[in-house]
Amino acid sequence: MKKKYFKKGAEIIKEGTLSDCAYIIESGKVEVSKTLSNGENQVVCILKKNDIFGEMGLIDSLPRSANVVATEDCTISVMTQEIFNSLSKHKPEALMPILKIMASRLRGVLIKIEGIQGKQNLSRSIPAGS
Amino acid sequence: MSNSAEIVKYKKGETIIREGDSGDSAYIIESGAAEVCKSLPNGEEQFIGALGQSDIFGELGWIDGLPRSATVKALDNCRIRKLTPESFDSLSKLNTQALVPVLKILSNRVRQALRLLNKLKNRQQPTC
Repeated sequence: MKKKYFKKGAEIIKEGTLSDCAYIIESGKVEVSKTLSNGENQVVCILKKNDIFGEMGLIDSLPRSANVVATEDCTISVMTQEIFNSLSKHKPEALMPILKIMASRLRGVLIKIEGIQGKQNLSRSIPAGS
Repeated sequence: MSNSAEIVKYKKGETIIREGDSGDSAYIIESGAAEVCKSLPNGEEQFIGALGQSDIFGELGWIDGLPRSATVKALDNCRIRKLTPESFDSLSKLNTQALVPVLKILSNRVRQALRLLNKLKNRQQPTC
């Protein structure tokens, strides 16, 4: 996989843009944030060495779901669609970490939803993911 | 999907998985329909959605072994293929075609959940 270098403050992914690769942090830290309807940037989490991000775009090619910015100088490996397709055909066990990360992300978001709903005391639909 | 999956039958109204229970099997509906519910903080049960033929559920527990995040009940008599943890382990080795569909389902669910979270957060913004 190719390695890319991002300086502190550099934008790696912009929410809403087209997705074509996933990233694995070799060194450094990044901040994941979402842009709210009022224009504010809300930090979702900080990712560090060995964390993967951008993988949903590889799986479904839909637009990026969040912004990712380097909070310090970073070295990041890039997993392109080609590599992903090749892995899923010839070495699927290499993709298992992605499966686990997605499950963990889904649980994390479901917990946040429950937290807000608890405060707002609303009855809303939650996507099935049991 | 996998050879180590068994078919289990559920009668209408039977609970297939219960929110909060430990469970490490995933399920694929071969025939019939099921409903997904969650318990609200006030004790009420809220209907989340219905699942039908070929729908998969319980995959989170299958992947990470953590407690069930919702309850699933049979809406009518169902035939359900149960995917055990053993079939998960062999998933990547024996059945290379199964991995990507599961990834797609998860990805879809993460996106749906993020959209809902965004909606709820936007609602939280104070209006002047």
